[in-house]
Amino acid sequence: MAKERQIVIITSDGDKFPVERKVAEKSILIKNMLKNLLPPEDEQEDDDSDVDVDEDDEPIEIPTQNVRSAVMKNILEWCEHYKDYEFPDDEQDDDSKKSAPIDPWDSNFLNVDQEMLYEIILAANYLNIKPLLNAGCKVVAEMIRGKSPEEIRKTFNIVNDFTPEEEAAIRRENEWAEDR
Amino acid sequence: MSVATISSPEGSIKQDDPFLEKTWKEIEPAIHIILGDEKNSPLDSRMYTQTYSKVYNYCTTASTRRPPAVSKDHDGKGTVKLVGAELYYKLQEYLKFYLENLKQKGGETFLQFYIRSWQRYLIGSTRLNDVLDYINRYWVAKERADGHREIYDILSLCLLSWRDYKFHANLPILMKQIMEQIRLQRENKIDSVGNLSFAIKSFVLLGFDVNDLKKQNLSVYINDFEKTFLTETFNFYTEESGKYIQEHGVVNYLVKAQQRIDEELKRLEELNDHTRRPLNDVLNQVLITNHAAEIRAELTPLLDEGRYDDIRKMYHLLRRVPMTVGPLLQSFQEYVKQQGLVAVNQLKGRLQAAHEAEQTNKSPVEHHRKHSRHKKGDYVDAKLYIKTLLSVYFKFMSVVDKAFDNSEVFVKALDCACRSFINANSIATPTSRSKSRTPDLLAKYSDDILRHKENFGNMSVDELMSVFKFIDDKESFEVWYRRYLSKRLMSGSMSPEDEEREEVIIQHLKTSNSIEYTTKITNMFNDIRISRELGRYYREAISDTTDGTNSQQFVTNLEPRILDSSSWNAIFRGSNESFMLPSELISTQEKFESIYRERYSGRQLNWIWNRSRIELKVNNLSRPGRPPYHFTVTLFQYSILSPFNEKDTMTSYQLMEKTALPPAVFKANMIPFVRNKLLVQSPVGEDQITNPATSFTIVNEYTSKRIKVNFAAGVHPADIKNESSELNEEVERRHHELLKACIVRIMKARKQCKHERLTNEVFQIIDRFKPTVGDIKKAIEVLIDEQYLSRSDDGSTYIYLS
Repeated sequence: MAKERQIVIITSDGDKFPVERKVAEKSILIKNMLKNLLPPEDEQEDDDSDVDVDEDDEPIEIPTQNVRSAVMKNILEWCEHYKDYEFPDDEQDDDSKKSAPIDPWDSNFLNVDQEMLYEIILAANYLNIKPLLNAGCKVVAEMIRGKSPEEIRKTFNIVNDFTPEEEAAIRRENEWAEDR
Repeated sequence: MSVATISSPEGSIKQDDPFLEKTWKEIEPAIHIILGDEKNSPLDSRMYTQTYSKVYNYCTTASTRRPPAVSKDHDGKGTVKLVGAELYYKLQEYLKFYLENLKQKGGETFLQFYIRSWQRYLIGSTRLNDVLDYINRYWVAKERADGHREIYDILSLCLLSWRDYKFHANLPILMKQIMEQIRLQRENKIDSVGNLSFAIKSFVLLGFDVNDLKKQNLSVYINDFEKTFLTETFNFYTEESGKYIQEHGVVNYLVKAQQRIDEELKRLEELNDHTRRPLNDVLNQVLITNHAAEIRAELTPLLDEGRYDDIRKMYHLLRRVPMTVGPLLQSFQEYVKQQGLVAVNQLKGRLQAAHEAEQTNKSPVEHHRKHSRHKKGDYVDAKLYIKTLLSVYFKFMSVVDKAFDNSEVFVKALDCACRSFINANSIATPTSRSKSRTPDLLAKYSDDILRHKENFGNMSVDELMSVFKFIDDKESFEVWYRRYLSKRLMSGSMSPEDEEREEVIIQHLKTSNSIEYTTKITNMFNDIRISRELGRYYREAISDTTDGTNSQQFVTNLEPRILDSSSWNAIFRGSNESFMLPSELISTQEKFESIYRERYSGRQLNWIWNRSRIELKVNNLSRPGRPPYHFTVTLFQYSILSPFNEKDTMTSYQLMEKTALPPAVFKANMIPFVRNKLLVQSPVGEDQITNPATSFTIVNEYTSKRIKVNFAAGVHPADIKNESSELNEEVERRHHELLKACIVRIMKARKQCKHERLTNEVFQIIDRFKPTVGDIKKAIEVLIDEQYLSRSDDGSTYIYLS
């Protein structure tokens, strides 16, 4: 493509974020969408009736119904930071990667209030940004690590609504998650 | 996948779940558009993210909305259930509905419809896979991780649905129309239905490995397409090639077959690469192997007609099937060999005819002289013979270049053929048991070159070496070469330029064989150099009169040749005749011997009288007022002439007594005097020369147009006929020694060895000639006698005795 088309992300609350393509493509959702909607030049002939994008110089608007502006701002900051970094293919997530400590930059980046952290994790899942999702989950895991159920409930402000029988049943069902 | 599994596996999902129904209703129109609707409506980013978000919301909301999704699985193992199954089954059902409603347009063949709709469906499936990614990412991944192999990612689900509802149901008509298209293309009747490769490649995508969906599985392609394709290809070309050869002949067929192969290999672009090998095999079988014998039969006529371009085409075609090249090589080799034999036969015919004509045209005297100089029936001209061999070799060397790309195997076949006819042909081996004369003739040819009879240059040296490398019996060549070399060296007229030329050839022989091979030849040159020095030393010694001797009693211009008998054996041949040195030369002999002993004590010095030449200045035979004659005579001739200083007439008896020469030698040396009228014989007749009563009288005044008269040149030793048989004996001896040395080397390393193994190893090591089994056995026997080896008790093994 001779000229990069402008990409504008529209959040659920209507804010528009113009972004560079490689930044936006940290989200696999957006990457796949662009791949599908902007076919390579040589296929344009056959396909352009099918993909009726507007004039080439008009920006592509991508509505992200599930992410609000404040969260998107953080997400894009993360994407901007990693725009030139190729994450390794995490098809086979080996244990070494699972147990690797959080990247210090990520750790600092995710040092936000719990509400924002959850929203970032959810958005990463929605936008399909695996490295960010993993980092977020690791932060949460760190908050849980070594704590008793009571302490965890306190940390996350959860009311225990299980009967003892229910609790025992859940423990049994979740044996798979125990340390082996 | 059977339709029955479309219903939920557990039945626990409420079919009237309102949230599911609402979600499905919202995404169904978009799915239709993505897969392709009637109007081919476009997909935009809003529809894309909306559909994605609906699925995301359904999957995420549903799981928080419902009580913890814990249920018992089939296998009784407790596991977390993710949400997505309901949407997956809905989609599966919808794909069936969609594909069954996809219909051929009027005026469209099934194949055209298949290609058009498949292309669109493939694009749609890929997009749908991305739009419904959230189902793939969690629910499908989890199901497959739990071992549910009947659950696929969305793209695979789409392709499988196509296979079930569009492909399998129509396979016969689809294949029929594809093969029909290919046949039309092969017959050059273009009836394009668009890109056939889309249809063919769909076979590839429709094969699945249920355990690893990312792995390509060619089972559908191979079973449903490739097998039929290969069979039809085989049948088509079996028919075409047979007909074509019949109608257009082999040469045209070579072009046709190559063109067909090129076309079919280009077709591979439309096929999966898996077909490359089997298609190649089929084409090679049908177009080449099945016709190889017919094709090869054309080689001889094409060679006869010099059509090397066509042969090249033949070679290029056949070499696609390596096993057909072997017989071609054999045909070629046999052809070259026959051409070589024919060329030599023709030369032999020409030479014999010329020889006979020459014989009948000669006067009896000349006839006789000719006879005495040449072996009986030796009409062979070494130059013509060698040039004939070379012309065949060079001709086919260029054929190998032009027709066979100088390929190594053909170069080898050419060499084999040349080796065969160069060593054995009607001139070299007139009977099957004769020893090859080629080494002799090649040595003679090199002698011609070195004696300036031929222009010397890189060209002639290369030619020489070309034939040399083919000679089986290199030992024989070496012996013959030394014979001619000894003559050149003894003639005494070798200039520095001549020596350089000799050196060039020796260098070549050395490189193409071994240093050891030319040792004797090099020694011969050294002998000559040392002899010259010795001559100088002798002349200095006799001019030094301080010890009171009179230099007058010595021959002043002595040119000694001190020759090593092992290198110069040709010279030593027949040098044991009785002879009495004329008294005036005895002091010279003694003086030289004492000088030699002084310098090389312990060496044995033998005089080869029959090689000695003497230059005489004759003062008393010239007409008054004319300059004196210069005679060149042999030492024997000198000893015959010497008594005439005392007396004008001598009888044969007296002369033979004085010289002690055997009658045959006496006769041979006497003939030139009589023939050139220096001595008058009575009674006349060559058979009277050795009669004791025959008298010889020296003329008072000798008449000759020339001042210099060479009587030595007219001396022809009686035993010259035996020369080649003697040389052959020497060659035999050399062979025998080489064999013995080789056997000892092997046995020294092995300590013991079976007879067969020993024989085989000898054959491998000996490269200068080809020993027979008999030769080897003889050498072994001799070594046993000489106690180098012994036989083991069982008789089949030899033991080395150190």
